[in-house]
Amino acid sequence: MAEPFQRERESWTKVQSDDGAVILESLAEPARFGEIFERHYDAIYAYLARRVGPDSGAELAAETFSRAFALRQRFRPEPIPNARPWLFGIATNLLRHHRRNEVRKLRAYARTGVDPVLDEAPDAERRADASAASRELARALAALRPDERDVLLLFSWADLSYSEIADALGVELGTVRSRLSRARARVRELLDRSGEGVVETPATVGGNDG
Amino acid sequence: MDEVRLIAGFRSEMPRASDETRRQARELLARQFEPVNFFGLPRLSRRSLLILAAVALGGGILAGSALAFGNSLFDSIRGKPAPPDVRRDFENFRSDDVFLYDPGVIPPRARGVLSFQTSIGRGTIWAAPLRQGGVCLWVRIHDARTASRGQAGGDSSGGGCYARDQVLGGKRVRVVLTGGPAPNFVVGFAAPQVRSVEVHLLEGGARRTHVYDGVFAVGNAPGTTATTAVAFDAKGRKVGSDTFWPEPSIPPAPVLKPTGPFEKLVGEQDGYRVSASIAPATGGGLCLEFEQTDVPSDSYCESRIDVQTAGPLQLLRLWWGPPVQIWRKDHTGEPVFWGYIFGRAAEDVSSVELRFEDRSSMPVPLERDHFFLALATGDRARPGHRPQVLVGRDRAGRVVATRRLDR
Repeated sequence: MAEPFQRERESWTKVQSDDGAVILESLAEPARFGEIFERHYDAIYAYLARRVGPDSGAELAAETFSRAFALRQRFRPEPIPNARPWLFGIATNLLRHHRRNEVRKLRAYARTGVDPVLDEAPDAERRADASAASRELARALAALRPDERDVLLLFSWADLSYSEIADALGVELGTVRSRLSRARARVRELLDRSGEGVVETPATVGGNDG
Repeated sequence: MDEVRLIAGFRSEMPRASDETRRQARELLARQFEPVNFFGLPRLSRRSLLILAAVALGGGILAGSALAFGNSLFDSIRGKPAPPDVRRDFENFRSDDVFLYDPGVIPPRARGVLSFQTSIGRGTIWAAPLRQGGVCLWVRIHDARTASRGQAGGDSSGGGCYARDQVLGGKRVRVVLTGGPAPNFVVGFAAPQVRSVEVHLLEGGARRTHVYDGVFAVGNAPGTTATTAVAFDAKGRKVGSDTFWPEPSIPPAPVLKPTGPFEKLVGEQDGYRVSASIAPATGGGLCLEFEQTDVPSDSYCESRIDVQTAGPLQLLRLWWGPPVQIWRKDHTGEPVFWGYIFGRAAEDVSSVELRFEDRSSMPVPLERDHFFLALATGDRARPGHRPQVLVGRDRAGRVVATRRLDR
């Protein structure tokens, strides 16, 4: 079964193909960088908020764009002209200082059934009666190695392709494949062990561009 | 259900960023589009006020032209003696909490200078002398809003130290501290003949204030941007000005690009790598790239790197602070474990070493006449292992230059 976000990802890349040009222009005219903010802020915020909560997520998202602006001379539009992977790479770097906090919240969710991350969000549809599968998934995500969790969530939440993840994290494509494979296998194993096992479908076996 | 689908749905109820969250992030970014103040840093938030102390100390180790204050900035200050809690604040200046080394402050001699009104409450400025003949200012702003709600911890404080010969640099007025957006204020020094100072705002309008013992302070409305301080003598004549926030009509500096390859200067300790690379830039400028093991790289090009000291071993300002940046906390309040020494050596200097208080020493990488070193600070620094002096040698190994770092 094709993954639903695959098509969106392709169209997104087309729409955003001139990020590189905007960033280049922003070297002479800094305010142009505001366009990069407008295009990508929502995605960056959503990703960070899901990982560490809306408050820290807002702080980190703002910091991501500040850092990106300061580092814009280093943005290389080749081979990926879209700034999205680059921004997610910066965001992931910033998340490193929040790893303990992230894991603590995941474990709390697994333990209590109340997700502290969603609990922070005033308008979230809170689910006090969280499903057993969600609680076990939180436990599994907390148990992953940080670099594996980064790859898995960049893939699942940020909708980045393998090569975009490699670009974001500055690692080889093969490293992305192996980390993602290990992370998925580990999550499957932990869910199986808890009795909340997943059914392996063709869509879960392959990658997107890999 | 497969695990990717399960993960994709996990916390998918997270709401989008609110308009307010988005607006704040956009404003934070937009502030970077604007010119920076003379500290070389964006305007400082309330939370970052403490860092002013470190930034200003960078100015404190400058050598500059003689000025109208004579030999001691402090002698002109005649306020009442500071209470014990203020003296303790000055004690912290030498306790390793703000600076790696003791700037030479003498807390028991601390005195009050003046108080002024800000949008959040009353600010008070205290001063303490430096052993080498300068002064440290300490600004405390009492947050009346939180106090009225019975809350503690809303007060702000920060300050800086200024060497005897450097503050005015031949000018009649100079702003040394700014805060913003709230409390939004300006603090500066003025020469003896200056009786009042007018602080002009980017948004229009100005506020005039008296000068007390060579110091002035003005609280501004939140969100406004002070640009210029204009000095007046007793007869109301304009005698000087200090434009510390560039007017919007000033065209932006040209974008510089490297014109040659980057040469890397590497510092490594305990497996933690910090490096700076330099390259010549268009217009005779200099480009710097900065990398740390677990922090995103940073780079910039400047037409003119601020020279902080004269002589054969010049200390240069990195883009986020003074030349010797050895802080225990950064502007976000997070611990900082690394400090940087960056500078330019004269042509006859072929090697540079750094000597520490405990008499140990280490070579300082030197490339294209520029030296750079990263140092462990705070809890990572060994007791007594504080940097004390840079030594430059010629090809024959003779000492041709020294530069003390602890004063």
